[in-house]
Amino acid sequence: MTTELDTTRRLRAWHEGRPQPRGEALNVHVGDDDDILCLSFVRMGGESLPWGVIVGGATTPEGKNRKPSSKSGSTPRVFTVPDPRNRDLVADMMIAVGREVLAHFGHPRYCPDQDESLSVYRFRQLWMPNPSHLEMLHSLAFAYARTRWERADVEVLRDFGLLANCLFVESQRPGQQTVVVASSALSSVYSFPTSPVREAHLGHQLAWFGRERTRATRLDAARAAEKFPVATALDPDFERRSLAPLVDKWNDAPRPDRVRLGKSHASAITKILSAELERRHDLVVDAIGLLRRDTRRPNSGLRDLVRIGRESFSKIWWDNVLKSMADDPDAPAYWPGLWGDVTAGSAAFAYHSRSAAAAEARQILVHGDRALQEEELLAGHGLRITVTGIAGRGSTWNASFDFPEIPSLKSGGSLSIAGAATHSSKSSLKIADFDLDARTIVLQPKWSAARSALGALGMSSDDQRWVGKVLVLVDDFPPDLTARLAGRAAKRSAHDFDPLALFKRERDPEPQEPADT
Amino acid sequence: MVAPVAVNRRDTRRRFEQWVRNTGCEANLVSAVHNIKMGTVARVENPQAPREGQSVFALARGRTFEAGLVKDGGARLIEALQRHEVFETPDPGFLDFRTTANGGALADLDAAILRTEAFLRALAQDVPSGTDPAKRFEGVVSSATVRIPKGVMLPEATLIIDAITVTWVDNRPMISVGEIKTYSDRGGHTSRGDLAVARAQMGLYVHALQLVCETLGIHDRIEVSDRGFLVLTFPGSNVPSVRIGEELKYQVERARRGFDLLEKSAATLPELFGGERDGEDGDERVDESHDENYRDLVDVVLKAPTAFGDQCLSFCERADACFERALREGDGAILGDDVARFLNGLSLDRADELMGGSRPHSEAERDFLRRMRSPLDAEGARR
Repeated sequence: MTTELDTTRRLRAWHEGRPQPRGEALNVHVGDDDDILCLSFVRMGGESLPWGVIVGGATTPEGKNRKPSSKSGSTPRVFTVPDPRNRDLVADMMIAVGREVLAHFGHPRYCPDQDESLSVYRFRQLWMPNPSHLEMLHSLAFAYARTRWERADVEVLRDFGLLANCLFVESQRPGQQTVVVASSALSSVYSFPTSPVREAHLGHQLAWFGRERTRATRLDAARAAEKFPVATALDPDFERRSLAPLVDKWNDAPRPDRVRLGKSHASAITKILSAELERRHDLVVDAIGLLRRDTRRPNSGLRDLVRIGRESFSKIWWDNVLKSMADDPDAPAYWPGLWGDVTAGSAAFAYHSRSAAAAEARQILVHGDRALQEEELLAGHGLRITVTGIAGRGSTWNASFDFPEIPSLKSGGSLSIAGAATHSSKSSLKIADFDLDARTIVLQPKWSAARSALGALGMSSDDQRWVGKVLVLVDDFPPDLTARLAGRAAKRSAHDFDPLALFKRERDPEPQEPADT
Repeated sequence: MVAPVAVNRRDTRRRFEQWVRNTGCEANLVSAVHNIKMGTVARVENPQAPREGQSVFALARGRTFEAGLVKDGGARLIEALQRHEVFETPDPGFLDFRTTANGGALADLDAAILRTEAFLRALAQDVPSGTDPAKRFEGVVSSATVRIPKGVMLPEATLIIDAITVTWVDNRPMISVGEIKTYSDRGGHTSRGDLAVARAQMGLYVHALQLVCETLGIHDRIEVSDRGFLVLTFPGSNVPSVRIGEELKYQVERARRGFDLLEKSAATLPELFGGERDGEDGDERVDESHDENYRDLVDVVLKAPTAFGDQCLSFCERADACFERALREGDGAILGDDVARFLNGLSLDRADELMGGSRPHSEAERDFLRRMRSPLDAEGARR
């Protein structure tokens, strides 16, 4: 059903001829300049590690002339290698990149002001143009997190690999705000007058916000923008024409002399890759700027999501950094695995954990944005009621409901009044009884006294002004219960029994000749 | 005796997959059936049309990786498979059916097809005679090449299978199909799209092998497993990462039904079939653009009706031109397949007018406006 809502929003955006705000609030956290690091990659076709990397802040120097500005962190730094098939060169490059990223996240080994940073993890954000850049983080984790390579600065590679893996793992948790894919962020904030397939292209999205005067000219601009790739891969034709001859020439020299003799070819390659990287970086910076200029208020729930994100990332990365630095055999670091869910037990754990995180994020944000409430209702996670009577001094409410047509209700279940929530309290109601034919419901408020923090919806439960009010109630199933399921699933995995064994197909037994008796 | 095969008609798998991507597009059907490359058609339509293609570096890496796996008697590939205990014998065999064009010893694809068929027959012969297990073949075959022996649309359908393994279960040889890809194995996070393509490819190979065994009359002696294996790379290296036990049951069914449907669809294009088509066997044209028949067929593809959809953006070089056409015709598909369905026959232009306040003239238009209304707004005044 949410898809239908997306469809109607897209049609409205088409009618207006420009992207339309999605929701009344911004549901993506955009950190301060100090919090944000933008990271983009390019890779050679067929390779999984980078050919070039750009690292920079959330702003670009005026005129985009790339000269260092007075504002620290605003000048992006470009790193490239002439041929990424040379693992040594790539490792050298990633050591330099790794130092920057590790310092941004406050790794004590790479921060000059260690004393303060040793105590707590400060929330940081990483912005990337599209999901292919996120995949690159995972590839880097595979390449370096567990490396036993004997080379100089290998610990930087290892630290960076571990951080990259933790960032990738965190990026999979619904509601997280630490790793932001810019194209997904824009899609969650705006409805675009374009096919969802095209929305994956950050350049296409941003071009819709251009200064062109009509829908047709904006569409032309958006289609022109998507001719320039934003993913880690380069355009194959461009790669063949512009880079392949230079790489061939660089490789012409004998292997030991390539770096020395191939300087001119290497700088030509750098020049081409820099332009590609800078375009990707600029798009991310533009996306951040666009979100910062948006006049909508941030969703009040984002503060909680940032707090949860800080705690979550601190647990999977920061705590392990401190443990590995302390090198205490009784408290070893326990780093997340690289391969994902390799057993049925861990898959079940991850499934329930993510379900809980998704429900939690939904419940946190839904109160701060009416458009999200609409989505919840259409997805069957809520109910629209009219309070018809109050009984038992406010302990019971009688109400009728008119939407959705077929609600999913359960006696004993919990709903909360949409919009009536702060990070510390909300107005929850227990479902005592309901009649689907008569479309009536009996609810038991879980509060009694008035709460001024909830504004107009903070009245006491026996206040007669509730009667006649139309309220949107949203699903209030406690995410902790789902999270507990994850723990139980993980415990079960400790046994020998593997549920997947049930699905192993056995060959039907061959018919046997009756045995002679 | 295997009939010679026309080079320009060999890439059956690509053509089949191209058709599967958009079965509703008649131009796509004609292009797939007659092997008229969409890129050629796109550039006739618009000389500036973008060229879809693979990276030269990716192609080179693919060749290097595959060559590395099969060199020295397939030592690297066998070792990677042995780590998963694929073979019972400690010393699996290796057969190389690659052609000279791919770094092998066989002269051409016809020779590879003959060798593959001879190999399958020999394998089947080992079954009733109860060949000494020490003498029967267990191991890997590189580039087994099969020709799908039936087919209205593609009588010469030829498939080259990257690798197959032969193992023995209950004294019957079991063939498992393998696909070699250079993308990295990132465990549960490996690209789902890439894996789906590789599995679809393997399903097609299993289907083809089953058909070949049936035609050779050896299907009751050889089992073609519906579980295959993938050979990927570890991220950032050329070390193979093997995934065994890839379930292919549904991909095989997809291939079987797909070929049936493709044949049925191809049969709706009778005016393009005839003696000319069959007579092309052995015709190894290099530059088809100078061929008058080929140019005629390009023209047929150009004139065939198209059906633009989201999927076209990912595979068809005519997507831009078809988008333009759909835009001119007010086809809601330009905003996504879901919009086309939502409009239910209404043009995007008319929907635009209705959203702008134009009076609805039909029940369909009134229904559109009803569905466009937010369910919350409908009662919003009461809030």
